[in-house]
Amino acid sequence: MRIGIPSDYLGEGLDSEVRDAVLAAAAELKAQGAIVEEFPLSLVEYAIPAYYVIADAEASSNLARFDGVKYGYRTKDYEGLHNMYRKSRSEGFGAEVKRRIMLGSFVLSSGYYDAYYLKALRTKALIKQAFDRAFESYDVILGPAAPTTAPRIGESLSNPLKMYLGDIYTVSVNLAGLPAISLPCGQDKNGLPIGLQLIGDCFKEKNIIRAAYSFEQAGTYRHSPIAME
Amino acid sequence: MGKQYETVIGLEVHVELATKTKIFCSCSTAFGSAPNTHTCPVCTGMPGSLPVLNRQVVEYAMAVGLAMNCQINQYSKFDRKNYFYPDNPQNYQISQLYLPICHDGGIEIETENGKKVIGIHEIHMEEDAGKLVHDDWEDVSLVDYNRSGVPLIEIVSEPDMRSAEEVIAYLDKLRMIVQYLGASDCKMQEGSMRADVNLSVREVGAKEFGTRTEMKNIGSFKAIARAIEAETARQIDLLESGEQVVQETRRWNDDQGYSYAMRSKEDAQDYRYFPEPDLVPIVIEDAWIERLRASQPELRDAKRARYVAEYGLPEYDAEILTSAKKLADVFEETTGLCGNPKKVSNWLMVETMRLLKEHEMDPEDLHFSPANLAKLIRLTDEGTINSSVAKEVFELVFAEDIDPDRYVEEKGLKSVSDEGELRAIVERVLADNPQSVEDYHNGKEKAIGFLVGQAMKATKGKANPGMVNQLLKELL
Repeated sequence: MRIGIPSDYLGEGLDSEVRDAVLAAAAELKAQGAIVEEFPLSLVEYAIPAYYVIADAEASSNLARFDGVKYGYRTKDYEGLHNMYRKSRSEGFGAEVKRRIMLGSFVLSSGYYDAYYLKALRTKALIKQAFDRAFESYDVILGPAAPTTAPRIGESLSNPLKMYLGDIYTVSVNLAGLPAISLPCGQDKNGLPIGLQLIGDCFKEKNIIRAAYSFEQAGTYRHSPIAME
Repeated sequence: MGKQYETVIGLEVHVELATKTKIFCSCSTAFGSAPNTHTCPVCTGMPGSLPVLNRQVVEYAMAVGLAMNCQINQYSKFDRKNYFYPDNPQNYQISQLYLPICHDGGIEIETENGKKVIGIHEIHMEEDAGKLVHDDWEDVSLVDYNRSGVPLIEIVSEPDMRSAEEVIAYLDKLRMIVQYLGASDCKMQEGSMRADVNLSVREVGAKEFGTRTEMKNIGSFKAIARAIEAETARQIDLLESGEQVVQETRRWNDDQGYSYAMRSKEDAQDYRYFPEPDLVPIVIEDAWIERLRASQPELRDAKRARYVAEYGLPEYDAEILTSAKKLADVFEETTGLCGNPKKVSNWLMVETMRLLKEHEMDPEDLHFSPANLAKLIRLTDEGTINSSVAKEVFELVFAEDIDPDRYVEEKGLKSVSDEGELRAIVERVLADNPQSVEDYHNGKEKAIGFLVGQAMKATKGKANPGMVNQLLKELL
């Protein structure tokens, strides 16, 4: 099995403990006979902006059905249909949801569609092409699932940009429509689990499951949620 | 000298397709059921539900496109049109904007001014919305989602029409094509066909189009013609008095005979269209198109020509019989059974049309079986019943699809053709009406009509009128 590690996934922003654990996992797979090498995936820095434009656009439309008409929350007092819509949605949605609805509506609005949404769709197509090229050389792409271990509850909401950047390694998979698996491969000094991500080509789930299973069977790291206090 | 104006009209026609199930779920499309009985999580916009495209919708849309000489987009996509309204449970409509299924076609119309091709800009597929019912008494609005997700095609013409007459000819042609394909029944009164009229005026010879207005959902062909006349006059008046036509959507009130502005371009909503992420693109292979092309049914023009050539019908009959697919179907089946095309045509053109009008029905509503009409025609051919009895029996065939053979037998309606029996009756009539006999001999030819009537009365309408006439002349 040929395993590629995008060098773009190991650069700035990656926590050193996460990096060490992921590379140790790669070394274990190599020890079991896999060919493991680094390669430039390219376009990684565009995954987050493209993903959040597309995801927020879809969210703004998908969440339109929560309008107080058919189900869910409806405001107590209102004057007419539009006031009912506005009050129900203003009161019922939280800050992060509202942020995404506003961003998504903005990038789809006439005059901004081409500059944001259409450009994001084109970026998505290019990212998919970058993965297609990578899968000409590798069966599995290996990297961290996230640049850091889990934040404290509520901590990330205060800095949404930082929170979005935490998705850098996983959103490309959604954009490119690829199968991926993430599994525990170690702990940081606070005892929080570190995730390893294995990405496969379309309809090649078998490869990532095989690699994940081999790593798990090696027993270099056993994850036990109960042991974590 | 007054300026000469011309009207420029383009139409957007929505047609509800005759599929058994909805476009993105397996709910029934039946019309007229109790509210919210044909619904599921998909067509009521429940969270987490996902659409699955009905293949038959694509097939009908392509069949209509091919019949209208369109190009088929072999890579076609759905898009979302976002707007809030309670009849639209997801608050977006799944439609097609960027890559509609059909584009660049045209159909030929014929008016008093001759033949002309009206271009078809595109045909796209989309879902219908539910229906709002406003209850002013309770001060609430209720929503019925039975229609939500019923498949529609929108047929968008080029701005090629110049008069109400051309518009009606276009709509008529379009309806015939769709009906003949079996893609829709196109009943305007049930809303399975709806037209939006885009209209502008300009000076004759002008290159640029004038500012247009749009009139939405006009309820009938006649109302469309009236709306076009009125809107043309309104726009010319504006221009003549030095004012501007405002680009806006107007509502035509057919009872009052005027239209009023609903919303201007400035308040036009931003629909934030984007490719529907929940559906994959539609890829149409050549073989599918070829199969459809090969199985296209005979359309109206071909059928009309065939009726003249094959059945020897007058042009006029062929025109009327093909004016509705259902009528043509009944004609062909009945003729196949009784082998008398002109007689079948007469029954359909005279009595059937009269009864349809009387009951305010469309030809599509006909529900008698051709076999029963064929039996009725045979009964008259054989002289078993006379024509006035036949008309009475036909009313029952039309209304209840009765079996004429059995009915005539049971009710004893067979005409009296026995010469001995009739001769006795006629003799009695002559004896009872000496005054009429005398009038006849004094040259009053009309008197014979009265005597025929008396003989018919004596036989409760069952006498063979030809024989009665003959006997009267003989005995007088």
